[in-house]
Amino acid sequence: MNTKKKMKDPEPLVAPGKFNLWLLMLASSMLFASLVSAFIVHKPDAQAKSTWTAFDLPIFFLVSVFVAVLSSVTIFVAWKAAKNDELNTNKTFTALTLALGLLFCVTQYLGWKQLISLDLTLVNARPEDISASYVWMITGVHVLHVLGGLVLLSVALVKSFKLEVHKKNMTLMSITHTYWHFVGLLWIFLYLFLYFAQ
Amino acid sequence: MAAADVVEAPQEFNPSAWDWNTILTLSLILLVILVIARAFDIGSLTEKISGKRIVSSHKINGWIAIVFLVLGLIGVWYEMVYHGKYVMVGNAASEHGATYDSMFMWTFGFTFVVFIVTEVLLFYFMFRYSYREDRKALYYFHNNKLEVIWTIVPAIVLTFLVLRGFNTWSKITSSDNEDAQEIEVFAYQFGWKARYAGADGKFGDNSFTFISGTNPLGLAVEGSVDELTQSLNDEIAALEALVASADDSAAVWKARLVNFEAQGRQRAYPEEYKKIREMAMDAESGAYVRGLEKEIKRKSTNVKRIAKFRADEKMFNKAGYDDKVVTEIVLVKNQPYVFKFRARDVIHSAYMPEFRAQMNCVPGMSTQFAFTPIKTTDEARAEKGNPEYDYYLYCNKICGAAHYNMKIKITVVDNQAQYESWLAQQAPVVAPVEAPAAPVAPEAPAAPETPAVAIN
Amino acid sequence: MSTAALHAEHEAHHEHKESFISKYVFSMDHKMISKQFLITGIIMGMIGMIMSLLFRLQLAWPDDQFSIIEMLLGKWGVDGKLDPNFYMGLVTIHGTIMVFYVLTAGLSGTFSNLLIPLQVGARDMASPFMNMLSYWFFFMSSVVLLISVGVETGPASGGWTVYPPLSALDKAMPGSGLGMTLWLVAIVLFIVSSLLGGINYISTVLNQRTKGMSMNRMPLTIWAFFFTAVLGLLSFPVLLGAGLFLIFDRSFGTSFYLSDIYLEGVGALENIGGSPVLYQHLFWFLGHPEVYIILMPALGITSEVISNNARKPIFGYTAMIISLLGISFLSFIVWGHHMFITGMNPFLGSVFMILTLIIAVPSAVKAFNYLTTLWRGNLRFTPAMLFSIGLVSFFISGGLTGIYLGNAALDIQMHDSYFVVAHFHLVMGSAAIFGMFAGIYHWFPRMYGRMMNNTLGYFHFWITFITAYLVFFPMHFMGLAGVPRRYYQFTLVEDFDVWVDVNKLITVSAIIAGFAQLLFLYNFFISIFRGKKSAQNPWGANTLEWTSPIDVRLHGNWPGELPTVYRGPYEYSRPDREEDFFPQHIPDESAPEVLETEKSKKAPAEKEAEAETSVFFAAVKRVFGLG
Repeated sequence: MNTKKKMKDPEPLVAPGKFNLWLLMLASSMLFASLVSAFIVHKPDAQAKSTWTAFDLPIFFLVSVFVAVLSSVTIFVAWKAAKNDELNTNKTFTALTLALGLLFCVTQYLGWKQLISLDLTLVNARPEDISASYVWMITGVHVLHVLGGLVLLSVALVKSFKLEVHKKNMTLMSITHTYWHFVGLLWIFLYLFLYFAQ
Repeated sequence: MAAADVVEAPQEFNPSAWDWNTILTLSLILLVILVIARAFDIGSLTEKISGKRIVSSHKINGWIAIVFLVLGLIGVWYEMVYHGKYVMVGNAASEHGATYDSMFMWTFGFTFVVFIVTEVLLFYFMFRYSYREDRKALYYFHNNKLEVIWTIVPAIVLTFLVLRGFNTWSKITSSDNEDAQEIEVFAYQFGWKARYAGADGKFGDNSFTFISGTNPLGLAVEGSVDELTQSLNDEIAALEALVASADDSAAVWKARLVNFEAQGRQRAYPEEYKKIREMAMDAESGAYVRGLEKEIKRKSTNVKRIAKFRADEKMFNKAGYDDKVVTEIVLVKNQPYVFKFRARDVIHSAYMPEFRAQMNCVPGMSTQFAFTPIKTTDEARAEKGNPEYDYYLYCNKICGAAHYNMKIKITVVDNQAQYESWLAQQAPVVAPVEAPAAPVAPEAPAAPETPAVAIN
Repeated sequence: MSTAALHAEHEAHHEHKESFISKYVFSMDHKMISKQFLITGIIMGMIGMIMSLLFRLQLAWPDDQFSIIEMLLGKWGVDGKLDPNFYMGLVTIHGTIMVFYVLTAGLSGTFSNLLIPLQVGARDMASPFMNMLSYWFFFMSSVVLLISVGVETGPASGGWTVYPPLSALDKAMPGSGLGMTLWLVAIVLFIVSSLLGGINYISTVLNQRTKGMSMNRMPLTIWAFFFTAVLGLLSFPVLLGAGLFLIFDRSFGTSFYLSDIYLEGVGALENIGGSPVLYQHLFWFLGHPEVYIILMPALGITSEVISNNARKPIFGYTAMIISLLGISFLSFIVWGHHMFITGMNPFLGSVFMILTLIIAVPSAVKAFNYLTTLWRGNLRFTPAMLFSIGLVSFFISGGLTGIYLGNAALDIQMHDSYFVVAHFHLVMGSAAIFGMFAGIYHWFPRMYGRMMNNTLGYFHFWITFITAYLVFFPMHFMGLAGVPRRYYQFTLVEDFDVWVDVNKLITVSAIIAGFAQLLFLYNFFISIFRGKKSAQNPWGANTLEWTSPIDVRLHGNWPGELPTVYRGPYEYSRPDREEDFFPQHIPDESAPEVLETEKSKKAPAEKEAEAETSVFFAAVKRVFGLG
């Protein structure tokens, strides 16, 4: 019954998948905006009750920033390669990005372990560490986004090995590319925010 | 209990018959409507009989609109007359109430005119322009002048209302009156307590960690706080004993369960069986011990916090020993007051409609509202012609099952002497001479000699 | 046994009875998905309404016993008396169901899905798969919510706004236990559904319009759905954030919202440093746009239905769009007017007051434009038209009381009183549900190829309209006399005795209104199977949905090429035409539009950009140039 394929309808200006992705990123930006503004609103309030302590972010979070930047570069190369039909380069760099994405998760994990060793747990060992709860929430929600990105990357990798990613079939690669930049930038922003706003 | 309710219920309502009869009657009416609608389908009649129209649904609806308009206006008038008199306007019992009421009247004036004009037009148009085949509607897309007018005019009116509202709001919320007497109002599930400073005019310090059965406001009273620490320590010890014997108790519960099942009593005593099974399962999975340990942690945190505060000389300076914790608020006419609100469990809202005052009470946060009463309870009673009439402070933020019954009486007296004689009858937090260490429960009856001391 | 659980079961069976799973159940056709939203919405609406009748019985006859309460509620209605805890639960779930499940998903989900592709001339949504997911998340969410009504400790009962600490502490009231957990799960699922839907709506409107359908030729329904989707996209994630914090406070022991709490029977809690008011900020950042998410689709539907049945162009098309835009924008910066008395900084209060009252201006423009559209029209009173006019009436009566409540000073007295109940039930409750009814009566032929019975529709409208006013109008006076909302009974407060009779009137009216909805249900379900077959364009409408064949189920909407659009959607009663309507897709050789379209064939993108800028310039002109 699907008549769509049979006819030549005018192509939409932007591929629907890409358009939806941008809107989805807008929505998740709002989610982070809400977490971040809760942090900003809560801070003076908690400081007044001396239930807020500033602490140094784990060094591994900074490592994560570098990993994020590096993986943004690799995904860009992969995307560019796919666009130019350089399929081998595409495969290599998609795989590299996936590896870096996993590394990102590892550094996050190490960062959390570092927090725990400082007694800065999600459920405050010391009640004056509401700030730590926020760090956990924000990094946690971000890692969920990264995991979504890893799923996308894996699919893209599998497809590129099946030779389904090339000049004329760029939608998946473009989506992965855009989304991966998004989570990377998001992390850089969150790191800087947590670093300076505490 | 159920039987008593039945006796009290008015006789004309035999409830079980009442609701079923209503449902039956309404269903019958529905059935009649359905039959009418099917037999006499106005909409399709007009379309079926080409050219000749027997009944015009458009005309009928136009007429109904006019009837609705007229009856509606009568209804509005009726409401204004019969229920309008209960509207709290023009009789505020507080100083800022008059400003409030005039703000209300201005808003009412504007909105009422708009309401009547637009609704009348709406239903009149329904009547006037109902469908006729020989007429064509006006092809009228827009008229910039008109649209500008009805953008600008509401904007001007609203500017006026905003400015006035802004003034009223800042007048009400600015509470920099230095003569104002402070009263602390304390909200809990489900009731209110008020605290007046004693002779020293100073409130004693407090913390939620000090709250106990005998010290519901958590005031910094040495005896009570030490007693609380003691009882918390006892409870912790008891809980620790339970943890220590947890393995044994797990075995006991399991044995009991096996026994229960072996005797085949599950069916006869399902509630008990369920309970025993739950306990046995909790004991085995460790949930039982985890629960106990959580309790221990919570209690010992409280003990630690109390100990920290206890060392604080400033907090335990006995300033609050002469405070009066009361279950009724008494105010003096024309005396400015600042109400400081606290809540101990969930959010409540202190609502004093006669005084045009309301403020949320939030745990962990201090809020306030200032006003000056200008009408005594007696004056209000005379005005209403009701000798029983009283002011109340109600809870106006959903807070649990008994939310609807959470109130405290406010009495406004004519002069300071009346207030002082009332205050003197109230017991202080710690009775002065007899036993300085032992706290007196605030609800305790007043010591007999205090009134004599205070009336001077 | 709770009715809710039964209904959920029933609903599930209903879905499974259909034979072709891919056709009726996991359908990706936007038309089928819209029907799924509609049927689920109607069922949820009935449940929500029955709940309201139960607690209305309690308010009117607090001393009596009702066997129906015992029968329906079991242990919560022992001896025919409603339990106070369950009263709170009913109030909460009634609010949640009506706000989210009926008036957000049921209204916007149904008509955005049905109309966006059909009216902009698209084969389907941008992503039919996401669209399907959107419905099924909504369905799961509904089921979870209904299950929560049946749990042993009762449903969530802290009011639909679920303010912590009440909602965060399971010992604070029974409903804050498992019931509240399920409520949160349901809402998270709902947010996901809403986001998936909203993303699709926006992207379809912006990206998938047919040839000639420039932004300034879109029907106002589409404009309204578009703004609604944008509001949802930007505000629902914030509710998700608020919900996350609440979930962590409830289940993992964090202290985002909790501080300095002593609970009777438990003792002092460990949590310190949290801020209960923070939740209110986050919640109302969604909560306020949410009321426009509810209302705007109804306004869009009304614009379309009124113009069509008045046989007259909608008055001030551009002004209508700009006022929608203004309302949407302002709705994000006025959330504080729900919090005037939380102890917020009075200066902040004044800012929120000013911003709030500005909303009255675009709202007034809309109301006046509706009136002018009716003026010198040729009004055909179909049930849809009547419901639209009813909406305008409610929009005016309920909107005007917003001017009181938006005023921080007046809000001191009126906050959380029955005045508020009257206000929002008129302006967003009744108005939006009337918009939904208007939409159902108007587009029923488009959905099912058959007509609904007009006479039943008339009875339905007039009974509902009159009783709705009887229910909500007296509440203004209760509120102004200082009667607080969410009270289980008023008999314990002597001052409120006078309102017992009014409560009886309200309850009787509500029961009659409830029965009138049975007329609608009968009409709706019978007409699906037995209704008169509809003509292709039964209302003589201009918009594109009536050009897609209504008697065949067609995934792709149009059998041949997509229709081309030559003019705006409101060309009714043009003096130069014999017929009183002029569909958008019919070319008119002499009209300049055709020449324009000829030009546009060369460079469609350019043309579109031009059209969009023209709306923009009209907006700028309107704001600055006044002419």
